[in-house]
Amino acid sequence: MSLEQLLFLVVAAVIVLAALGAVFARRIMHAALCAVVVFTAVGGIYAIIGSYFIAVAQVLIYIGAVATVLVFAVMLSGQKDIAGGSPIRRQARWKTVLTWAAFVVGLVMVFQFTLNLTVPASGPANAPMAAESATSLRFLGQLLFYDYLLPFEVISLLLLLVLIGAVVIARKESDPQ
Amino acid sequence: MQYKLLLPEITLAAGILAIICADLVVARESRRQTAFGLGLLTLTIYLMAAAALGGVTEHAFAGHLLVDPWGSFFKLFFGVTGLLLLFLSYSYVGQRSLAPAEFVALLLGAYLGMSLMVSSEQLLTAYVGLELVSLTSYLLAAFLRQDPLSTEAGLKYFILGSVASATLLFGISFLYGYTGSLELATIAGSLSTGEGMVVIGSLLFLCGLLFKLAAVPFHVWAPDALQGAPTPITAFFSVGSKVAVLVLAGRFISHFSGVLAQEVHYYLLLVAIGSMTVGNLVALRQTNLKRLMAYSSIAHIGYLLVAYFLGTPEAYAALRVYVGVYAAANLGIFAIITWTESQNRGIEIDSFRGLGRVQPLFGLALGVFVFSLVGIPPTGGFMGKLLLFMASVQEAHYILAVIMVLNGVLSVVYYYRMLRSAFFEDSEWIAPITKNAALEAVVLVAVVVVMVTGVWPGWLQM
Repeated sequence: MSLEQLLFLVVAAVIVLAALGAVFARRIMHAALCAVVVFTAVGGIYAIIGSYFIAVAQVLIYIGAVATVLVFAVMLSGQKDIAGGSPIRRQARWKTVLTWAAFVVGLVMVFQFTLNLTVPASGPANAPMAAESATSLRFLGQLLFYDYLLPFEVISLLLLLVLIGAVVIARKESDPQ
Repeated sequence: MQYKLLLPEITLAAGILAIICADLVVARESRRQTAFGLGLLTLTIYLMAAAALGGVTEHAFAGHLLVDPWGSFFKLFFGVTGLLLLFLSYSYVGQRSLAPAEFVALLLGAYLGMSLMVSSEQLLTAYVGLELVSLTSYLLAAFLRQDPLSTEAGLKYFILGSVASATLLFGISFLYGYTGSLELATIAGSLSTGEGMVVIGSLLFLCGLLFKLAAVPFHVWAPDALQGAPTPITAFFSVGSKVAVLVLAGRFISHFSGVLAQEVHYYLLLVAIGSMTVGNLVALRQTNLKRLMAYSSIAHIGYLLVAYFLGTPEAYAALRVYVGVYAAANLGIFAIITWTESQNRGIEIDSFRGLGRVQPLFGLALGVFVFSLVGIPPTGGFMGKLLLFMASVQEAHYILAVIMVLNGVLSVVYYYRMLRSAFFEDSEWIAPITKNAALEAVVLVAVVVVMVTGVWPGWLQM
């Protein structure tokens, strides 16, 4: 096992554990902090595969912006526990078990498949896109504004519309329209 | 110039911005007129632009945009249904004093996403289009802020829809990881047989799409989301966003039909038969009109998926007719539901009681739409079902044809309950009955489309 693989396994384990922590934490603040750990560790994965720019962007955007907003929202809402966590009803329990069983079986199948796979020569892992070109800002900028211009521009419109929609939904009832 | 090919989408984007900006300057009393007027104008120009590109087949924007007749047909379809939807929602938005500019802008945003979805064979662009549709749909579903049902609809749709998006992206990442490309043609071309990773990727991708289509077994969110959403938006879900997803699924399936024929096609058949049967069976027990229409749309999605399972040119031709007629009949019924709702009659089947007496036009039109949805001649619904039926017999899928006919018979029962309520049961209409010219126009257009297609389905195949 190479050092890279070892690093990957450690970071992946941190992601899985922190994600579980975010789901199962009783206190909403703990859940938010676990999410921050997940964001950071995902940045670590990008760094391991050599996409340093994306790693930095991940840290800047997810920790700098998303996590801050998340923590703000938690503090503003003033709720300490995750309310309404009623225990699972007995009738529903077998459904839960069944769902989880199906989920686990599915995961195992996916693992089984992936273990037996070989990535062909045309795959991105073997593509001639060298590490330095993938990380250089010039390369990324060219991709964004030439090859991926259309989706890039559509995303800007998407963000605008979602912002407007969020304001409509979240506005106070008494506000004049 | 490649921007010419993007003209329909650019029109929509410009329209959205114009509506938002105009809302800031006009007087409060005329905000609704301004927003809807600009919306109508935008969609009219969109229609003209899409018609102008009707015969073109060309790639642009580094392969992200594909303009072809198949996509252009659906752009025209979206333009027409969009115009009808604006007429449908005009009085609704006024009555509930919803924010008009935001409503129209979000709706047009969804149309922009749909327009991109039908004109791309590049998975990233298609995904961005799909997200544009999904996110605006969640917001529109929750647009009635005073109504807890609407909030529930938006929230359920949002959470489950996000899972579907994640599944879809996961599938795309498998396909990209294996082939190194996001172009459907390149992905399909670099495969020889159904390799494991591609099968997983395709299945995940299809599951995501089937979820957005509310096909069985991914349908559980649909009735709640469609019941709680504002009525015009319920209409939009069943004739707008679903059709766009259907087209994207079709492009995907048609590329992979050779490679994945064995693996994926029979899942598709199971989903199609399941959707028809479950949708029709559960619809039998519904009393709420919107829920009933939700289950009915699940059943119709089943019929449409049959066309993809068959995959022949005849089946695709049948799909066009089926979608066109289904949308017309559905929009017509939703216009009538919107009207009864505006008379404070509620949205139960019983709300239709006496409809034939107080509003004979709507009563008769309801009859036409119901006949069309069941598939009784001489309506267009009959033609759609007949063409689909013949396409499956041609491929020697006799059992499938029999199942389709049995399901048609099953659907008679619940559609008939609407007609019985409208014509054979009566009740007092307490509030003074008000006419609504916009809704009457929608109903008339829908009746004309349904009846014309019944005798001449060819106009939808030009």
